[in-house]
Amino acid sequence: MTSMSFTTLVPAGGLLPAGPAGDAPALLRAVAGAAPAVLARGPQDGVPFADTALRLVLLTALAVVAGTGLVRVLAGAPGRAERVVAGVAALVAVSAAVAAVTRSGAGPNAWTLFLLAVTVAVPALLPGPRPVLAVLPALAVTALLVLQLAGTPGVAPWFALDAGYAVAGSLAAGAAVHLVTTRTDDDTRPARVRVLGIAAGTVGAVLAAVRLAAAGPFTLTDVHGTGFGRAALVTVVAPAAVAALLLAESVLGRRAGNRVRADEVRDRVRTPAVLAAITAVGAATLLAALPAPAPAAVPGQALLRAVDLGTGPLTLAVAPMRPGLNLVQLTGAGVTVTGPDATMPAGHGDPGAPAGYAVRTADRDVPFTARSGAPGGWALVDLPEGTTSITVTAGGLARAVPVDVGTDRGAPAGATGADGPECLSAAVGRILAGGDPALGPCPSESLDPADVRGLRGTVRALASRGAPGLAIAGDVSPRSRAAADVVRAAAGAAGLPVRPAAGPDDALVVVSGWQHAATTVRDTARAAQTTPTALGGTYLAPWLLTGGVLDQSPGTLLPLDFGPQEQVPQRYVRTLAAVAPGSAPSLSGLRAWAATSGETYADPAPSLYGAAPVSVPMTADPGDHHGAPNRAAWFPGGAVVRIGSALDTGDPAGPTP
Amino acid sequence: MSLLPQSRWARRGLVALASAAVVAGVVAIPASAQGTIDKVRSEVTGADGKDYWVENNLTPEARRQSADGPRKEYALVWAGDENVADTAVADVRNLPGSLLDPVDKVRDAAPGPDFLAVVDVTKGTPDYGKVVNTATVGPLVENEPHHMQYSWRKGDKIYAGGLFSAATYVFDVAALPEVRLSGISLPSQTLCGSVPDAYWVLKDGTAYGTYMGGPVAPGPCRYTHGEVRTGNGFAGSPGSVIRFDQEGKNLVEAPAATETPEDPTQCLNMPALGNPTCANPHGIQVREDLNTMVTSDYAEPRSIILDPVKNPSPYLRRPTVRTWDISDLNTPKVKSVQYLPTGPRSGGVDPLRNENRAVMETTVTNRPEHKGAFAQTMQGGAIFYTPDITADNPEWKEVFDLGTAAPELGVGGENGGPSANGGWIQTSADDTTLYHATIGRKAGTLGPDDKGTAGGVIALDIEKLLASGETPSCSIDTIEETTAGGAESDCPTIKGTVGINPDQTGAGPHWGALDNLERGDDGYYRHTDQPQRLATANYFVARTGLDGDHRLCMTDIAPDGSLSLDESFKDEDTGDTCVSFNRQHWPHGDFGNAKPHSMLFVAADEDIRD
Repeated sequence: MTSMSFTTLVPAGGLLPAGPAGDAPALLRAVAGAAPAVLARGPQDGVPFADTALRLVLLTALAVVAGTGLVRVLAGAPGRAERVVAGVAALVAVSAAVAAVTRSGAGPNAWTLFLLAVTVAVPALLPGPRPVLAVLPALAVTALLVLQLAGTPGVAPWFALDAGYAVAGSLAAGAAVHLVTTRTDDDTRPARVRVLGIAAGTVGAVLAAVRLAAAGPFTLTDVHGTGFGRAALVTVVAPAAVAALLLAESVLGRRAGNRVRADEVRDRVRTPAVLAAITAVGAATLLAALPAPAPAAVPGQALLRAVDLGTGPLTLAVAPMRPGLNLVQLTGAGVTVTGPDATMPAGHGDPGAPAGYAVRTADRDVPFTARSGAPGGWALVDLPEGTTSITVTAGGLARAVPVDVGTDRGAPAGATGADGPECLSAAVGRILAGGDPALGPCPSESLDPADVRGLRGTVRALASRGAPGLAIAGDVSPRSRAAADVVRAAAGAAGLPVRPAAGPDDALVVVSGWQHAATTVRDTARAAQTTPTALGGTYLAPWLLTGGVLDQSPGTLLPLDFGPQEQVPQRYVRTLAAVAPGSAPSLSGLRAWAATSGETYADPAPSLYGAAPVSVPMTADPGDHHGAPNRAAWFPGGAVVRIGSALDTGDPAGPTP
Repeated sequence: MSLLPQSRWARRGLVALASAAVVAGVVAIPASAQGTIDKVRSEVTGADGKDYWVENNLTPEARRQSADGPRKEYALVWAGDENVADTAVADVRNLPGSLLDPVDKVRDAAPGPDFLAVVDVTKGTPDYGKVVNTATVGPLVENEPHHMQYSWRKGDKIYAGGLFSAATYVFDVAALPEVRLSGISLPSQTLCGSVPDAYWVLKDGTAYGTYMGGPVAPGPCRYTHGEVRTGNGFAGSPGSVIRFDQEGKNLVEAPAATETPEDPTQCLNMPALGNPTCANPHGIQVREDLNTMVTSDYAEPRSIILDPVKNPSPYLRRPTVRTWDISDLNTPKVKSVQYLPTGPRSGGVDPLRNENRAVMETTVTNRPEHKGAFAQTMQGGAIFYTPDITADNPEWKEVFDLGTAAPELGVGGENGGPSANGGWIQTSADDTTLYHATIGRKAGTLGPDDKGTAGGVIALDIEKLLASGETPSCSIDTIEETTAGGAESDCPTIKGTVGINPDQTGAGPHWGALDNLERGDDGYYRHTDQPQRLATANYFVARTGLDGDHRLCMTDIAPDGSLSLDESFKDEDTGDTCVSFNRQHWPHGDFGNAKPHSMLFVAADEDIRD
């Protein structure tokens, strides 16, 4: 069992900005009949603050309503104050439900009416001759609360765990409200209710503790260092406090010896008990709307989580999580890198920030450095078997991150080399879609048939345009070598000369990985400033659609079988931006995300797309004219648009060369 | 039973929970209209075989138009969704990590659709300033909505460009407040140009559009009539002029570059071209009666920092104006390329701000007896004039420096010409007045002591200048004239000014439009050459760092030409003067802030009588 399957109080994924939309506002959907637009976008979208607030108010009020009804079995007829509290709680719940309906944009349906009816019925029955009848609608309200807090039945025992917490929370709230609003000389009934409150608080605390132990957060750092952890802790402490306070009342009341002192004890503990009971339910409602700390590291699976080094959340990724060399990426606002590539613009406009980010393993500090073509800082660290944590440092701050590399040394080929960032990007794509976080096989290890078609079509287009020749820029990866063979064969078939270096009017076809491509493209662009160089155009292989490569040139062309600005690819981009801020979208990430999530986005045939840094020069301060593009785009600060019809790709693609 | 503790608790509970109920109710109110939006979609099939659409989101106010009360006039505002690409990195990453962190920024970061906002501008009515429809476009997002045509007349389609998507949308607004999509031109249909900028609608309803950027692919590009120019690629150089039919079909694509090289010193291209060219047309206006079109070259519309140590060359900003022979509307030909003169402020130390730098816009005179045109420079902060655009080589002179008007617009105001960031410029239909919008200069642009300038709109009296015929004497050629105005008697003089965000520097409007409609006694609208108001928008292009506060403001024009902000044009949500496009709720959903670039005054066909 992992937290991924614990889909109710613990949001899925590692760095979610908020809980799964399908869980957090599930009741909103239930009462509205149709999902609000924001909820329909996918499980990774953030839950708006207003929805979170509505959820808190609605569910907490429902718990009070349910509780005041349920305790009637033991408590008998309620007093005036208790009826008032129940009535006001029902009013709040109804108001929140109406707000949810109107926010969703859909009209009320049967669920809405049922919710309103049973919620109002509880306080309506309390003043009657048989207040115990309020138990019936209270049971219905409790059922609704269970459905919301515990999600979908069928994932037992986790459903039972959360359902139990919802019932316990309601009973604790009902008992506490009854006790604080009731004063009678006959202590028989209050004593029963007190026992009920103690039992409900104890059960709630135990259930929450089991959930915390089983589903995380898994470290003390995450418990006290994150909103989710704090809320989870409150779900344990608050019901325990209810039980402890009521137990204290019972014990101290007996020792008090006289009624006056017993009343003093009662007055001191019951109001805090009510507050603790309400807080317990409120904390549980918040859990699904808060980002959950990352699940525990698993050997062989990429770890993706947030760290805060005093400048806000940064994204940390570790892969392949095997003994030996591991690649660590740190992205986020203010991440400044040093090293051989640090002087190149890994995306002009990146904000500056304090330098000195490093990752510490054992007694070694490894600084994060730039990698051409990939955003953020990168560190290659050696993690021997038995390593339990790494520490990310910046300035005087250090944050320990738990890792578990296991014992299997079988890291996928290409995971830590020049193509490691792209391999990690693919893994992140799968993680975004809730897929297997295991790393590999890396994209650089084989040539995708779709890329074969794109490259063939590109060469044919060059030949038809009358290009005098082309040069191929590749590297030693299996994919690059295979791609170069495809280009060479297609050029031969089209009668297009392939030269060792691009002449002034030739085209340059880049089929290497990101790192080599970024430097190739940049050098070509620089040379073209003074000398006619590759005026036939710089053509990139499809997998080079990523900002770190595109932003090295004033203009490149790519054969793509999808429109980067269309809805499905944009959904991937914004999901990535929300979950792993600072990471660059990539074709490999898109493919992994789409394959896992079942999304289709590809056109039947590739077309040529042009990529250029369009920004319209401005007159502001020199150096400021280009603004600060965000990495959460296919081409930050630029545009990628289709510039031609479908390419002639020749024969249907065969097996991967 | 003692009631005191219970009553106290009851009171506490009542107050707390009732407050929560009120909060819940308040939360519900802004979204309550969502369920009453009418969605009407209009689709066309693009050249790539995919479906493109406009989806109207009509509010209840839109549905009750004309049911009673006056017929409605609208401002159509072409606006883009603000999203992650426009937002500072730090903002986007401020994700909720604790109980106290709001999550709204995540939501605002999601790319929403761009849209044509339909704003009720029927002055004096309860709905004045209300957004009654947002016609969203799809499936393309992040188009960066830019310009439309300069004015609209009954029967015209709306031509609207996406700067980054390189697409031109053609909207049918005959049945306002509902908008329909008549067609779309995709970049694959305009291979010899990119980065569409502005449009001019001809009498037959077709339109010319400027494509500021180069051919979509580097290398030689063959235009409609067989001309060949070599370009350096998408968003590079040279640009083109395209004539569209009313469904967005490309009728002709004409090269803006000449066959021969242009000045290699002033016309830098990246990467360098064998034939250097300044041909990056931005502004466009036409005199069909004179068979002449004028385009102004702004800049090579892409920038890349290949060398982070060096600033981009100022010579990527253009100093040129082109006149075209359009005797045959389907064969527009560049007739002349004129380099605007440097002015008295110009110096070799900082050529970026020479008076002739970055010719963003041009505007023609309108009356038959006039053949002149104006041009303005965004970086240079100057206005130029030529008396005859039909001449083989029109002579342009500087006739006004924005340093003259800057002190009247608000704070700062010293040395107001350089980097004044002038944008929209438009002659009145009767050729008496020249209107010009200026963003102003952010403090510190010229150095640590630079106090900057505020922005706004100025109205210049140009009657004497035009009356001087083909031999105007006005010429700004001394430093004194850059602040005091031209010494010659026919130089333009200030009729009126209005500061917009006058207490801030560099926060004025980039674009504007004159209201060329007036409602007659019979309740119907008619076109007028005596505009009584104009609209402006405070937005340029977020990605450039010059963003603006995204407000649409209305300025009244008094009979004497003086200008004043229309205080009654208020935001329906905040009640503040001007309509803010920074809002959470839109008829099409809670997509957050939007970026209004250009606007037009329009009314439904049935409400206009000529």
